[in-house]
Amino acid sequence: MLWVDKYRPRQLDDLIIHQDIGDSLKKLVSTGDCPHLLFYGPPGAGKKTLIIGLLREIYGAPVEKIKVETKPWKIELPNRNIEIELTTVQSNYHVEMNPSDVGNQDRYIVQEVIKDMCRNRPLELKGQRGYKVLLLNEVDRLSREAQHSLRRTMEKYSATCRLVFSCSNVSKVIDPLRSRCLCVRVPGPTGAEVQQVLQHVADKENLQLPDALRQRVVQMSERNLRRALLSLETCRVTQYPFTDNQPVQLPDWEMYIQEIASFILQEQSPKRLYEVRGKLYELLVNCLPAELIMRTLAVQLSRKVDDELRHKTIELAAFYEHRLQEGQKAIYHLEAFVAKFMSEYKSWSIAVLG
Amino acid sequence: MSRKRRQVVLLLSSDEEAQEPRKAPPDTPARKRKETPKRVEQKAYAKSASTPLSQDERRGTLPLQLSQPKEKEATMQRQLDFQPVQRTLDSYAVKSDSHNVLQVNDMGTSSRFRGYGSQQGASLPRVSSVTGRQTAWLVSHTPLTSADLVMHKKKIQEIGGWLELQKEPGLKCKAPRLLVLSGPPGCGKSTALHVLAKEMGFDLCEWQPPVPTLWSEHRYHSADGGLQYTSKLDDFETFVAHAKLSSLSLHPSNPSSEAGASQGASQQSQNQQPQQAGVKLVVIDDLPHTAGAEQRARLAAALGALAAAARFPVVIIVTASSTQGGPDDRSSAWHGLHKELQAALNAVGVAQISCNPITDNYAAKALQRVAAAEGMPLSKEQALSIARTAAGDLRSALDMLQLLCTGVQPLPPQPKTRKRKAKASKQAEPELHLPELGHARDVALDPFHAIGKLLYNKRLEDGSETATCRGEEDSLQQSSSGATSFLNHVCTNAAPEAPVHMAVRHRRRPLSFDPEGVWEQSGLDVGTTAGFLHENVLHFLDSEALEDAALLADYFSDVDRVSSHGFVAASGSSSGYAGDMGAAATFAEALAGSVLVRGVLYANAHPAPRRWLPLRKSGWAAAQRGAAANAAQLQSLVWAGGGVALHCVGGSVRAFAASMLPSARCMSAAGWAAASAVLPECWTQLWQGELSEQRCRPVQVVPELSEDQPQPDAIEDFEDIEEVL
Repeated sequence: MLWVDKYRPRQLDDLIIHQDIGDSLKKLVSTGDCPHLLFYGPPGAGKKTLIIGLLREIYGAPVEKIKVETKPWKIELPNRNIEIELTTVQSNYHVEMNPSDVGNQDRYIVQEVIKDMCRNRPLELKGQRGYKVLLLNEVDRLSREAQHSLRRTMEKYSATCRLVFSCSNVSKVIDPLRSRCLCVRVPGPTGAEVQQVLQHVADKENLQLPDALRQRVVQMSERNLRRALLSLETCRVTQYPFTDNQPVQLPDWEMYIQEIASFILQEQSPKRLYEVRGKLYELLVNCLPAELIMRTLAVQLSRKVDDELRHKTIELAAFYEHRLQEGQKAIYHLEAFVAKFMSEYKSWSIAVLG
Repeated sequence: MSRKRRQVVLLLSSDEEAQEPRKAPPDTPARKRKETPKRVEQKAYAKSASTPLSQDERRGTLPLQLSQPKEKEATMQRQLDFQPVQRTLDSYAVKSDSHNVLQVNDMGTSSRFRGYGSQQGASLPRVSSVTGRQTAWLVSHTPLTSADLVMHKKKIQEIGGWLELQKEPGLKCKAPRLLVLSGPPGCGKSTALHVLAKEMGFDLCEWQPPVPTLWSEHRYHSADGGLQYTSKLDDFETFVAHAKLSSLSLHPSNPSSEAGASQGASQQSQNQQPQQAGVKLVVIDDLPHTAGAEQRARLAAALGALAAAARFPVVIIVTASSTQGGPDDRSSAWHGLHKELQAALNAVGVAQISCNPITDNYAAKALQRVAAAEGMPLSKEQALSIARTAAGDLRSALDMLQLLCTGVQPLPPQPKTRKRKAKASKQAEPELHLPELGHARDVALDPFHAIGKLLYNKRLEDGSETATCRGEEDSLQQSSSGATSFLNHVCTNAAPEAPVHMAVRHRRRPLSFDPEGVWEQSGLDVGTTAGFLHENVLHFLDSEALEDAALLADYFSDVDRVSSHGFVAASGSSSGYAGDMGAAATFAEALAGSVLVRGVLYANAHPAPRRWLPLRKSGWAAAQRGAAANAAQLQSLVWAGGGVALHCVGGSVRAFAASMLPSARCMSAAGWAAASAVLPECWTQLWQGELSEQRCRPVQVVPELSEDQPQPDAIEDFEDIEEVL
């Protein structure tokens, strides 16, 4: 078992970071009822850990007995029937799913499947809660139609179930949904907090973690705890005992983006743009979110250019990142960013270097 | 010559004229019965208008008008003569070139085999040319020799070449017996075949199923075992079964010499008959319609059997329509046949020839020839404009010509040869004043052609100053149909009175075509068009034109934004179920299309020198496919955890791919068992536009962690991973 999973706190009491959020969640549960909840925060901040802790707090240990089920749902539409395959993780008390995985048909999941699940009240065993929890991941990736359908479901079945959402970009969740939920902001851990967790894990594993290496792992992790723990484990696997100047492995896609960035800076021409497009396609095949590619590329590029251009680069990245959210085909916007940057960079270098 | 002087009368102009042909027939049934007291089944399809008719028929028949009385008569005859004797609908008919119809019942016995003499030409009711009735020019000007054919010489040679191979009778012929002749409507497939077959001495027969029984008829007769219902497909299968067995002859024999009595002999001695006119050539012009997969399979089997075992050459004429098929299957000669049928025919190996639509110039020449023969010399421009609206369909062009010429006084005939006359008319300019074309046929543009037009970005050489300034707006005002017309309207109205003086860098020479029009004619949707343009347009830019490339990329981004769902119908209304996007979507689509084509044309200010470039399909689809395959792989891992604890990434495939996978790969490469378990079994990778799938979970996992592992250099290791992927 990887360390990320091994040392994940199971209960709200075990939390190392976000102890304050854990406390208020405990208070919330102790009142006997629980509103709909929306956890939002950057990846690797601990949203899921908090949610698991919350479930444990509500239902106790039996909630950890889970089964994974993938089953097709037949949905009758006015003019045709469609079949959607959806994976769910359920215990007796909760159902977890990722409705955005089905893509364009997500609203049918909301309209049919979720409604169906909300309808049944869980068995009440000796003073158990009279509601079940429906856990939806990545609600920010749901289409607007699906989110609107969700709104109705939340009101209608609030007697029998609670919805718990988790997402990383809260601005993509429509306002009506946000207003129906208690929003819990889960900030990314600070550097000190990451250090604290790393030290905790190292102690449990009986590792000697040099301070310099820990610092570097923290720096590489970009306040993503999952990433920090994974790279620590990678370091452990590749070389132990640790040394101070041991390299911390970057994710492969990030190195590839670094390569693309220097590739862009080498030459600016339509031909080069076409080659960059091919590389972007290669990245996209790996299921990487386009926003991540855009952001990493912008950061890498701005690191390598002059101050004058840095501002412009970030502005372009912001503009096309917004486009990315509104459009459908990521490649157009990624490429537009690259092309615009090339154009800016070329005119700058002509102006400066003559 | 009498034809020329005939008064031109509008088809179906008035009631009494329509009545007239009905008055004419009364003598025909009697006459017909006298000559051939047999069942005659004569169908005058509109299609038969395109088949070459014998010389005397050409003079004044109007098949449309003929058909009604004859049909009626045939039915009557069937009821009178044959109802008690014959289950006629089990049999099939082979109609030969000269309209003799023979029937062979399903037993193939000779007793019912009846020929209908070719003298029947005389017995056909016809409207005498003296009455001044006009025949369709399509019929009266059907080419009679291969020299008259309006078709590319190479194509004619190709068809002729195949026919040449088929001269060998029976099964001795090695070349494929089946030919699929495909092409758009009105490009002269049937005509060419008929003319060539005639010239090369083939005995051309056309397979035609009998008139199907109506269901009510079937109900009426089924009680007492009368007529039975057979579908056209059944008939076709029967026909194929007959075609295979040599003892069941389809041989129509020499129609003039044979009477019904001598059939038995002629069948058995078919191959030995030296006086036989030529090898029989069977034409199947309308394949039975197949509605479902089951029927298609039956038809495919029948076609396969026919190709494998036919004793005579068979030509299947397939009409390709522009609406069928995307850009992908355009290249196939099979355009117009269902995929399954294509596969079946491919499997048995058949010859295939596909005809192209007739070019405007060819069609214009043919039109001029016909018009001149009718005494109405057309100018080249007029002919060309008619030809253009017909879009490669000569049949439609001729009909259009006739319609336009109807009521126009023919010029007085000049006692000169045709060529001189053309010259003379040029000098004297005796222009025919043709009415305006009220309705033109919708012209479809081949998708690749349209994409090519947009990519090559052809502009007028030099315009006046205003043209240069207002080039883009001018082309806006050209008419285009559909949803963009509204856009055009808006843009035209919004255009200020005074010409806008644009900065020089924004100026472009005027376009040589209407971009929205081209896009609409191509029939492609915005997504596809954008995909093609996006993939290819960078190669059409000058190698230094980075500014243009950036502008282009920006336009593509705009298009994606505009065309993505919910741009116009901005948020709000949850529209229930898919498919009810309505007008807003079409408007957004039109808008996006306009932005797309104009953006691509405008941004390409410094095109690369013109050269031939291959057209690639968009890489986006491949990337999407690969990503979907990978996501499916990850899906199971994310949830089931591959033995790892469950909730490691919160059920998100993307988070898994971004954070877990890279580390897991590194650790797995170093032999960490726990990490190997999180790796997907196979991983799809895109390389040079090709997707490839590779296993990436190591088969043997070494659980031990060697302490003195050499420290992998970061970059090197990265390259290793690249290779592994």
